[in-house]
Amino acid sequence: MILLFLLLGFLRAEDFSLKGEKMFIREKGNVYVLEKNVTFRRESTYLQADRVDWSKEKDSFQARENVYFLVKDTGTELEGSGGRALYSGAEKKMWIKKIDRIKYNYKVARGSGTVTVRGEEGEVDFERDEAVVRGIPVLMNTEEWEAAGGLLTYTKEKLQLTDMKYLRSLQSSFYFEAEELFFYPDRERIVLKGGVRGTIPVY
Amino acid sequence: MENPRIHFFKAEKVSAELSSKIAFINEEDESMRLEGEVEVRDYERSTELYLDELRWDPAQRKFISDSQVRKITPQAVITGKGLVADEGWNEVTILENVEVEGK
Repeated sequence: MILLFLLLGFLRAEDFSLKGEKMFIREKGNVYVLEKNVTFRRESTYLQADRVDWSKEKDSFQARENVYFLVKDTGTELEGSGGRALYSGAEKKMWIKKIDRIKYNYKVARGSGTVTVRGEEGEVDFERDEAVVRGIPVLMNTEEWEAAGGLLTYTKEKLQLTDMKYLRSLQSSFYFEAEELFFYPDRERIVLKGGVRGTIPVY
Repeated sequence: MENPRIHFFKAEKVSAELSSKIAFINEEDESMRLEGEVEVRDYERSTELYLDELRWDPAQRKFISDSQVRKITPQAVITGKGLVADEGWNEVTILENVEVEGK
């Protein structure tokens, strides 16, 4: 019986719900288009957009215009907005284009924190619990610091900024350059690697 | 007409079936109104559509409904209000409050 419940729970986890004000169906080609205030939910993912194209065959959902997304995990949230998002159930991935901003909300001993990320495009891999943001540059910041780089990789344990340009304090004159930056949110600690150089204010 | 049943054929085979409790047919303009437990079964696509009422507008060559709509496909259940469809049921628009529960 327990096994049956577990199996049902597993099957239900794949279910999705879509809501919108209007739907256009073209049976040839299996085109399903929802328009106006469209919302999509599946497992840990929530999407909101002006329009969502659903492909039954590919098990994909393409959100267009005024896209908002939220991926909730235990203790962390990845939320943001952009011009377009493609969720693929078959590949268990989501791609985001024309990113306005992504907020990574995490919990720490003192409460919670947020890292805001700006870039060109991103990819969330649900199987690997990993997200990647690319940009020229990718900018990430908290209330205390800001960093720029070429590629940001997010896992549950850390945020990794490669091809790093700089890290600077927003509250003092700290300024560093390095090849890579690692941010560990549970300890709110930054580690720099490779060719580290910079300035530290001396009072 | 009570309990009408309309068959759609493709290559000499029934591809779809339309049924309801009652049908009103206007022979002058060839319009038709179906009322009560309206069902459209598409055998080709394995879909079922349930409505309270459905009208055939010969001038537009479209099926039109203002009632609640429930479409069942192998992948999802789609509900909403109001519908417009072409004569071959190839292009269907659900007009309001669309909800899809799928897997």
